[in-house]
Amino acid sequence: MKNFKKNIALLSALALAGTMLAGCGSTDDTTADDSAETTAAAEGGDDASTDDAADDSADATASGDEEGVLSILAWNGNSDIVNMVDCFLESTGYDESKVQIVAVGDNGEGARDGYSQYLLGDGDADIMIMDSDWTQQYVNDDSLTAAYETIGLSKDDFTEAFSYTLSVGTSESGVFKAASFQATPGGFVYRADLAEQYLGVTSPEEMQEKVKDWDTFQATGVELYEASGGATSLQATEGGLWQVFQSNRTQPWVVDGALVMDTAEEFYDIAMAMQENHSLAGVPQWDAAWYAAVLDGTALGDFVPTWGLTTSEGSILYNFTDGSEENGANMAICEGPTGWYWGGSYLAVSTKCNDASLAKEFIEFFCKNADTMKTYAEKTGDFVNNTTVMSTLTTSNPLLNGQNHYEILTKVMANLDLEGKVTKYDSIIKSHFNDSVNGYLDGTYATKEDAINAFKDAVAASYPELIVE
Amino acid sequence: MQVARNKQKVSYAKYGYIFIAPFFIAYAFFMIYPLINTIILSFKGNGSTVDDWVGFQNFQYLLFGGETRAADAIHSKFVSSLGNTVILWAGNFVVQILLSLLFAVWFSDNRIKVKGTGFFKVVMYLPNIITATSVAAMFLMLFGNSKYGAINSLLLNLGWISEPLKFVNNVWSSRVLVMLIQSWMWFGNTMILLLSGIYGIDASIYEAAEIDGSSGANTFFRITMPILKPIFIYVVITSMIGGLQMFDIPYLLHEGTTIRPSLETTAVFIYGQFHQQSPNYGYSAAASVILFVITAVLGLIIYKTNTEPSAPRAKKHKFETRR
Amino acid sequence: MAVSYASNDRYKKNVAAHSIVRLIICIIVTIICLLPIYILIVNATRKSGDIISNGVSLIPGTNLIQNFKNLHDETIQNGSYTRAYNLLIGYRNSLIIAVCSTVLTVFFSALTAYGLVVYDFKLKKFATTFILAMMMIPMQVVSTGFLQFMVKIGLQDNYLPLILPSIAAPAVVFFMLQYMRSSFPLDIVEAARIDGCGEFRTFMQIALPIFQPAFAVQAIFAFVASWNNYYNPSMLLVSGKLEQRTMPMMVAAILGNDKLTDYGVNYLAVALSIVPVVIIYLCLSKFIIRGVTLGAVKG
Repeated sequence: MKNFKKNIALLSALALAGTMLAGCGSTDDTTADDSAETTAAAEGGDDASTDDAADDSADATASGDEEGVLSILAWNGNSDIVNMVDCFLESTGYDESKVQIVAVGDNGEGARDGYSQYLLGDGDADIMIMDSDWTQQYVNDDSLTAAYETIGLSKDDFTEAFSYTLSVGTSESGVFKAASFQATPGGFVYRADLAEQYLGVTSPEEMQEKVKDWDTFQATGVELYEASGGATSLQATEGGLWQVFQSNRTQPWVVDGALVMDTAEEFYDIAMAMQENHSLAGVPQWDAAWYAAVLDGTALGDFVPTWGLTTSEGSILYNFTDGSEENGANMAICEGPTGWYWGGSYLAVSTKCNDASLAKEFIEFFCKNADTMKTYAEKTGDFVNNTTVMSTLTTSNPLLNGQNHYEILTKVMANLDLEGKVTKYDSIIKSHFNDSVNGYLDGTYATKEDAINAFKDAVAASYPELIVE
Repeated sequence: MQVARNKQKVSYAKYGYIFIAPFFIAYAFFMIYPLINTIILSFKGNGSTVDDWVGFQNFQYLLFGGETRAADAIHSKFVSSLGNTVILWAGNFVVQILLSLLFAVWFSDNRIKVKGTGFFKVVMYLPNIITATSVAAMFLMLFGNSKYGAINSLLLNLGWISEPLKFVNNVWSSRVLVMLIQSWMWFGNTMILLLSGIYGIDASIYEAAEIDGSSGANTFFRITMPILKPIFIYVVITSMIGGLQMFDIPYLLHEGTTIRPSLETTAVFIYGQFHQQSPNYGYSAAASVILFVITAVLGLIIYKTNTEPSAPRAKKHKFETRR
Repeated sequence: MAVSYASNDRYKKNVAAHSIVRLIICIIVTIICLLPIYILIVNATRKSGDIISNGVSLIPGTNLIQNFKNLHDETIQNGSYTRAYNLLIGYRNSLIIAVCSTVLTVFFSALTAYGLVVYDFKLKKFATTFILAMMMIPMQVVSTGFLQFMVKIGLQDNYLPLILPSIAAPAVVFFMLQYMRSSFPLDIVEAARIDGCGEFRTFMQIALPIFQPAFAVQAIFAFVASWNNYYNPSMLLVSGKLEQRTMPMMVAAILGNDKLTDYGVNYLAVALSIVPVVIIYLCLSKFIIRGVTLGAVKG
């Protein structure tokens, strides 16, 4: 309301300026005077509202800077943080005013650009939620994130965390700066009814045998397409396939400042072979067509990470089944060819953090303390970042025919080893890689060599300092 | 007042300055820093070397390439973005200008009246109201690559095709699509601009022409076009600028996460270079400067070759005497 | 289309035939213009599941009210909709910004153009060329510098940097300039001076009414541009408070959220965001037509 009034004031100042111009006198002298007055009036109006605004923000920062209030930067679509704050306040019994969420940006990418701008201003920020894609960028920038040591935490406090999350939260120079409250493994979600009909598969274990490695996965694709008479492809999207394959590397993307292709080249062949065999339904991810393809059986399934497996409205699984348990009875999940993860959010300490004790308490609550983490997992169905909790916790997912997907995902985690393979270049390199594979599949690049060249060019253009042979 | 009348020129000149002052003050306050900043950045490094001075290296790499793979890569990317820009602009410009001119003339034609002109005029501008994000989303629904796209599903049901057509992924169909969307969005806007120019023409001139027995085409080329010329030049220049800086639709029209390489315009290139995790400010600023120079040269050529002797007063007089 | 007066009958028939051909073409183009908008509105009335499984439809659904309720339901996904989208706040904020910038844009652009056309002064040529050149600056990179500058002087999270720069709108000035060149009789200024009318009054009371069509056109364009502007507000309002967000920011927050996949609700959010613009446009378009007929009577 305050804002509204301020703006009305501005409006009337402008209107005033307008009328003064309109009512100018008829002699030259007065017109000149009037114009001077008008500008003065306009400036006065502007000044007034600027002051107002300054006051407003001063008020805000005054309350924000107060000791004992935890300010958490997140982006708008992030509903995890709302759950977390609710859970935190409920367990600790703190007053609502103890924690405030500052929404910067609409999504992960918006937050990436928004946080650094926000930190330049005078707003308060203690903890920042970061998307795994750009966590490395932030932990490698000392002007944005502070070491966990500044609030009295170290890597040793997180011995029960899944190890890849610790790699993602550690800077190039080895400083630990961000922990995750969740691990994000996933599995191959498929239509069990169609799998039985066309492949004779009756259990997730049998299905796992059909997709246990990349060769078998491709062979199954061919088998399925033939058995279904061309009605059903094994995999819905190239994007889902790629998310899994990229965890398959034996070396980091960048070694000694040079780009390393490693196993990446194989993926061009796998993706192309699957497209030619009709094992890919070829729908785009995050599109109505994606969900429709699984719903109507054009695709047998796709790779879905833990956060896509919730029963809440809008999750990937929810859309695959249109939210109905009846459809869910036909769904199942198995591990797939390799260990992998997709996404996840990290908690970093901002360089402007002025409430170390509360920040520490919040981070310990979600990333260290097994009891509270378990409570959170039970409450939300999230896959928390704690090996002990997740090996004992069970669930029954009504949209997966009551299957305990935690069990599957824990197996997937056991196959994932990213120790020393995480670099700050990953996010951009991965997106260029995905682009070039897409280009190879849709014919933008005539040959695999062209596609690989285009990929290398793109990496070289993005990172002039990297050696790209 | 008396003083003013005695030495008119000197005295009225100051009003010129007073009238244009607010514009320049506001512009200077808000834009000088960003402009200088851009020019400075164009001489600085990229990614982790953003604080180093590199002289004209960014310009050299963008325009001519260099010894390293990175330099050649950025060069070929930039050149292909220029090519895409020119192709997309040319296609969109022709369709848009022809359509808008045609309708502007039709709607202002006193002789052959079209029923419901008011309605059509209003409706044809509507596409311009919707944000580019929504426009792109709607066209992706219609022209989706897979069998779920509306056009594909229609063609499949009719049995005209057996495999879905990749409208968005194919190089040329994606370009044609962008040209059509751009024309669809902007022809109403251009038409209204032209109409406002035509309506500004004194109606008595048309009456006179009609009495003289001037034909429709004759009236259009001898009367409408010459008087409309300044507005027409405006339309040409602004749509040239808009075309060279085309961003929204090419940037948004893709399925999945990959921006179509066939649609990567210079503006998309510039945006992409600074809007990534480790921004290449140098390249994007240098590319902006180059794009500005190209636009300015083309714009000034069009402007200068078309505006020299056409003082509006003289022209009006001509018509009046002829009448 | 050369028509002679020789045969009045043939001429009339010819006119009628032309008129019908034109009418048909107009109708086709109108349908092409309206179809995507119609599909958008139809989708706003459909169930998400229906949109996912059946794709595009031309028949309205029955879920409009439910979609509207869901859009305002605080319990859905932790209030992801209500935290991102509030119709009244969005309308209010976007209206304030769009109205203020539109007024500033048209008024000061007309003033500037008038100054450049009516008066002779030393820097006139230079100023004109300068304004022309300013139009050609690509905004992508400049906007980062602009944001940095605004944060430096503490104007982030403030509407002023979204409104005040519209005083300097080079493209609009250029349009007004060209418009005046084609249809502004300078003799009128002379006549007004002889009558003893001051320069500003001449501008306000004599010149502005003549510019009415140009004014209305540019007002619509400026309003639409400001209303639809997503990039600048989302950049400058860094704290992203709901009370400050503009309509496009709210729509983007919903469309940009991968987890909000209720397509019916999402389309409704988009559809609602364009309703006010359409209404304001329809009002202003009447004004254009009236302005034009006024001009005609005068002529």
